[in-house]
Amino acid sequence: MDELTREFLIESQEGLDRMERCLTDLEERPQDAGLLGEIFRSVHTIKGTTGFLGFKRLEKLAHAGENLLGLLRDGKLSADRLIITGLLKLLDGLRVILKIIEAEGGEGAGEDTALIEQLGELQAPAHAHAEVRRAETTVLATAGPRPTPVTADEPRTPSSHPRPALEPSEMVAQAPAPADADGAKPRAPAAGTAAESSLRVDVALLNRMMNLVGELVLTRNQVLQATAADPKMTLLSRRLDMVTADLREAVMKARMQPVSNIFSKMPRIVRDLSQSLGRRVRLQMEGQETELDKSLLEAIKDPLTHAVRNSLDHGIELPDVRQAAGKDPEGLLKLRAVQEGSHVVIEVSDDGAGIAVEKVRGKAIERGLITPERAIQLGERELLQLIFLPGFSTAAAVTNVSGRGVGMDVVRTNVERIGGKVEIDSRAGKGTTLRLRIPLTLAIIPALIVRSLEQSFALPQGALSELVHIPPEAAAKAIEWIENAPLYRLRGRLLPLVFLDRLLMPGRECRLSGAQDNFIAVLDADGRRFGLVVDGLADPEEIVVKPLSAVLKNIGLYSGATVLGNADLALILDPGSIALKAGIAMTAEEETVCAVEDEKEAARIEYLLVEAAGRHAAVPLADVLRIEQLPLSRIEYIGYRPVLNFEGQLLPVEDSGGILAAAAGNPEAQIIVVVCREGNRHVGIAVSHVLDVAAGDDLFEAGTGQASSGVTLLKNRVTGVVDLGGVAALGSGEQSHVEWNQEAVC
Amino acid sequence: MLNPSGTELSSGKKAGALVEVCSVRLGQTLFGVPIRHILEIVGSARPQPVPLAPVYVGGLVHYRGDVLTTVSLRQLLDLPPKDGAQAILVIEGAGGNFGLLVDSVSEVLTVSSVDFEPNPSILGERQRALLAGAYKLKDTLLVMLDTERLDPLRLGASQAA
Repeated sequence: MDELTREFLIESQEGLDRMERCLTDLEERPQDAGLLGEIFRSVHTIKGTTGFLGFKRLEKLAHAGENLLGLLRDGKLSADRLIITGLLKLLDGLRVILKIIEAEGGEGAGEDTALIEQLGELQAPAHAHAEVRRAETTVLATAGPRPTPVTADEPRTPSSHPRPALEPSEMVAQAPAPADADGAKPRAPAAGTAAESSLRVDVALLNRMMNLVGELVLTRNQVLQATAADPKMTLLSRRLDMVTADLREAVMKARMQPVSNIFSKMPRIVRDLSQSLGRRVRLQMEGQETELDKSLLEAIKDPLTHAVRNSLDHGIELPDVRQAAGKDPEGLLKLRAVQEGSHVVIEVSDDGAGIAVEKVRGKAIERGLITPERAIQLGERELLQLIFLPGFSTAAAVTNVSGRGVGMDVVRTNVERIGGKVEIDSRAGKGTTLRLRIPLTLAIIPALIVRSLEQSFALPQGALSELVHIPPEAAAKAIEWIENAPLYRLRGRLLPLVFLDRLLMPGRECRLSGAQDNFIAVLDADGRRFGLVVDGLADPEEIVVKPLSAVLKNIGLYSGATVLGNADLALILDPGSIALKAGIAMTAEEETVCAVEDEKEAARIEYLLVEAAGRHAAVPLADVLRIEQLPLSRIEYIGYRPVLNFEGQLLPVEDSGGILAAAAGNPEAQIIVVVCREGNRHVGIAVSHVLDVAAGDDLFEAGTGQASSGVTLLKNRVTGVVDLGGVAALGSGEQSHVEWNQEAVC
Repeated sequence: MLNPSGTELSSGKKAGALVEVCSVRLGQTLFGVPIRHILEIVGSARPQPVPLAPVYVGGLVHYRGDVLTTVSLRQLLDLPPKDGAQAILVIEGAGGNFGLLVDSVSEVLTVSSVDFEPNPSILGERQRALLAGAYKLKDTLLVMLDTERLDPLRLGASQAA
């Protein structure tokens, strides 16, 4: 393909994308001359260039569209729903031909007579019709549903009566409102300036730049090490350090694209689907300017589309059902993107029927995903998690929208593959929210460096849930066996073990060394939980992921390679593939089921037992994000409030134990901060030691028999639970009121 | 530079197309790689072994911001592994660049097609697949390697077959 054609294809795609956005907006504001002009220009440009390049089929189709658009632009015709549907068909037709040109170089032998005829028909009768209507509105100033034109071959659903188009006065008042709600920017002027100040760059070139920057980072590390002793070099190397960091950031930024790139596809999908399903849906989008790495954006396109389809098909009810339930007949679908630290959270929420947990329970039993006995014991939250199991679908009938049993598990797998997480929240009758938590970039990930076979390997932090240290003296008894399957008893539950050295070098013995420390990395990959036994741990590092050649990728254990700070190469282990290779089954769901089998067990929450200034306290383990050891100098103060700049976010640090005060004056002193999640925010708690993880029992107040809050029985000691909600928000000015309960011995 | 093996450009009297070949040493044999396939020569590298990789993979090396898969020529020709650092020819392959691990790199020779002979029929099946004939030098043979077939992608495919 020659350069000219390639350029033409890229430009046409962009033009058509713009046209698609404008068309869905046009439905809200049919008289908007700016939108019509924009659409006309896109088609006109295609027509003009095709004539030049000699694509006759494309030219003919574009020409037919241009005629219709010309009438619209000149105000001779008004864009109603039929015309917009016709224009969307034109858009699809043009896209199909462009795709053929891209694949084959020629435009294929297909014929578009039917479509061209349809576009022609839309010009005439609808034109007359519009005239009539204009007369009606001027005379009567009222508007009822119009009779369907004879030429209509579109199935018309009750929802497809044009709502705002009919009353010009109302329309004027309404016009700006939807634009604001959608976060849409005025398009025409923006397009002009963007073209002048931006430049198209090949992704391959960006990847190469990223590689070279990675290389530079490495060289810088070595330069810094080599020149550390030379005072004359310090200044220079410090500058090198700074420039490198800035450059790295700039190149990473160049790979970022706003989520509007995929959000902008949604109005069309929602429009088409709600029509074919007979739903009435209003789409609201927020945070479209949020940026994400290009490759990640590609990766979440399918899961997001799927989630939107699900919301329309299973979530939002039919208009009459909604009305009967006392809701607005028009459903609301909200897409929201927001950056939270090193992640971008994308939410798809609807105000539909929610997920009926009882249906989920029934379906899961019917499909044989869980046994009836277990299903009864499951709580609402656990039941919701079942929809992520492969082969689960609650759609009563298989529709072509969704419900083929390849639903949410695909969403979850796709998102987890790129290091993300999926959460679901649903309330019956109120709606469902699906939350995709995506890392900002794939190119650089946090990883723990482990040692095995005298080599370094990188374990992505995303899959790592905890580390267990087994000292040499405990090595002999730490592992239990069922036949030849090694198991470790982790807080009372058996954890299957995989020995990394044996996995990599079959034939080695599965045994912990009695001569040195052993470590088990507890991993959770796609619901598969297991312990990976390694010989040693090195520091966690932010690693730059380098792709492997196909031959090595085919081994299946490695997802890439990286260069470590000490210039060593390390292979990046893929926990999911290791689990598969070692035959670890999807046990996470089973385990949660086991955990709640015993009612008493269900009430037990796991706590992180910490010590601060001689007192013990408990932090709910589920809320703990990280335990950070850092020098006191990292703590900064806003007024009297200690804060920590953690991964670019400001974290209020709770210091009821007086740890920070005690260490004051020694900026090098190491302190431990437990980073916790509290609602939507993160808080830090300064402690002197982290002691253990244990399950706590409820304590009952003597006499009343009521469970007392704020305390738990941990290892037979009454221990205070840190009230995370009590950590004052930044800028609230209120004094925090977390209390460390004095421990008591039962 | 004095050539220890006594190889040199064969006499320029004869006509024929001239080809530039990088000569490398492996054990006793002198092998040649057409210079236009070589991106760079990296001396004294220690590739990082990759557990569970196919035997012909010599390991990974860090090359200009990329991680390069290397192919061990010794392994391919059934020679015993050699301790210590090896030299790497970075070669442009169909599926990306790869490294060829050799004992040492000698000089670049210009050879004439007049001196070329195709693979002899007594060569084994495996060797024949990797070699692309030989140039007769004054007192030794320069055995040509077929870089296309040395590509790990290609080797992987042929091993799977």
